[in-house]
Amino acid sequence: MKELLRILRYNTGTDKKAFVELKEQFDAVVFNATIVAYSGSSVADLVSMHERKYIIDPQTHIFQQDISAIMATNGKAEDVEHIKKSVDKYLDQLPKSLAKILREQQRPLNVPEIMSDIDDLVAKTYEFQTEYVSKYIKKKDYDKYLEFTDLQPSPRMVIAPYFMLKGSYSKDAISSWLHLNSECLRKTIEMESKSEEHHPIAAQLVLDKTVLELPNFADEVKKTYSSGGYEYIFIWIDDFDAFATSIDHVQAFADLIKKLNGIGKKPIMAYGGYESIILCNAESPVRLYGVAQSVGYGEYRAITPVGGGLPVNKYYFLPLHRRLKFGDAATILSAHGYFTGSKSPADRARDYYAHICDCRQCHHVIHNDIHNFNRYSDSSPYDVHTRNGIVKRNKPTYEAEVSAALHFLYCKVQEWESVEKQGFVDLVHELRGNYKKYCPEKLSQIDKWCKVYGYKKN
Amino acid sequence: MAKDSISETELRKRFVDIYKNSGKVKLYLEVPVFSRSVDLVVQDADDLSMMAVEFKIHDWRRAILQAQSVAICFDYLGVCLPQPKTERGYRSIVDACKVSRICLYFYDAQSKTFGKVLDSPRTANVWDAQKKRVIKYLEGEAHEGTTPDSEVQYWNRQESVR
Repeated sequence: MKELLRILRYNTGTDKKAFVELKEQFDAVVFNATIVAYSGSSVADLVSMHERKYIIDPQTHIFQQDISAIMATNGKAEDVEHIKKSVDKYLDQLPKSLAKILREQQRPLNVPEIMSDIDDLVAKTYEFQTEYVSKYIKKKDYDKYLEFTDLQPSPRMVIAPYFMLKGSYSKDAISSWLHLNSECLRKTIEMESKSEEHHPIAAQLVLDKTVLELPNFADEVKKTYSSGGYEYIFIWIDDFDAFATSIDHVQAFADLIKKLNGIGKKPIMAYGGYESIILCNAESPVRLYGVAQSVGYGEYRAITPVGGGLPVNKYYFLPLHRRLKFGDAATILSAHGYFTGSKSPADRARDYYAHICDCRQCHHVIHNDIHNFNRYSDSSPYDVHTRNGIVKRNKPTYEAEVSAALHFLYCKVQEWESVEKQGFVDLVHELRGNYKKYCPEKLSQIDKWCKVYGYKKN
Repeated sequence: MAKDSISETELRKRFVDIYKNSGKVKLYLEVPVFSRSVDLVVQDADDLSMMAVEFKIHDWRRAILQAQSVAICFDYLGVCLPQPKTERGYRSIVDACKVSRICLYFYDAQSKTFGKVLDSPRTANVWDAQKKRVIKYLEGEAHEGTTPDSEVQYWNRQESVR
């Protein structure tokens, strides 16, 4: 298996176009179990294009979340809240006794309750990840061709059931959830060893940022995850952006990854941006071995659902490796004279390709006139109800959304290429230089990040 | 900044009530620009130059940031705030607006009047392509009325105020 994993996360139907166009550039695609349960047939179509490349995140943490995190209404104030349909469909595939508590008592489960049904939980999540999609593929016309060519998709790896370590938990509670995670992992490895097909097993460690800083936390994780029989550990830290979070969190994160490297494990960021991709460089002092990113929304993700927010035009500013609001990106370009001055729009377009982004999508959008850059901001006004009345906002057009998503993914392809080709020091040097030039107000945060990873300024 | 009992919406309404009759300008409320909605756009009826004005009661720094965030679409930027009660507060705001090249209006709650404290120079680096988009929006959709305030809605439907 290729050591570094470039992973895409598939979230919604609008991701499909970008996903299909870039599928060859990524090593695997991750689907959330709830999406798979709800849209099995469409997921089957997508994974059929990705032979042995799909991963299903089993999302077993839904058993321990506050019930409000999995509830929804049909959008009207008078509607009664109910468990989201996608979650409800997934619960049908999980142990009945555990699902019953969520459905009937509408409360999160505790460690003893889950532990009492751990064998069934492990078996059901394993079965879901390895067989659920195949059931849908068998109903498709194209199944016979897949069978004939021996190209039936199967999971790239199977993730053991996992539970989140919350900042609100006591140290003892964290230890008991870690123990539960460890048992789930052990039993999944056992189950895998008895199966006829062989899927690599992965663990997943999900936590609040504050847990990173608990005394001896990295050591406890090391102890929990030191067993053999698997290599990869997905790490998901609630809304963690290492280029923006406190330096204590960055340091604690680096310590955690170092410990996992020390026991021969290969951490993968379940949601990450360039600050994670750069740590996949072979010379990085602490190593990640893969990063997953969404097509349509941010590289960082809160664990429990939060308000979706209003859709806005965004643009990935490659030199800063950040997805910015379109207006902020345009303001930076404008300050560097891209839209004004004596140079022709064609010359400015050439400057853009030389210094900002040379991706296929930018060539498609901009051609030889820099003013076409504003097509990334194509939008239409719509009404938003606020406490001050109705206001107008701009909503990206579908074409602008797809265009921005494609540009984002082409940028990711470029980032992966440079991380595989360049040395760590050169990458960090380039990063610093770009922040100094285009976003000097954030340079001090980048410098702090650099310091944690041992980079010294000249 | 001194607290004022009026809301931002009320502050803007009072501003509009006074300035709608003050010259050859068109005023537009809640104009969508990028990912935001600009509180008020003041457009010169002769040369069509535009100023984006943000209103804030409490957080004047945020008002400046909001105005700056749309700078490449407007010829001028402005903020309108309640007049601070202390000289120190007054100075901080004036200095910040000078540095940011932003026009500053203060509202005096006692006399219920507005005063222009700072004029702004023309914005540098305006991107014509985006400015034209704003103008196109103003020519098209802005006259439907974008606030529940009936008086402003009525007024907003008047295409120009002289």
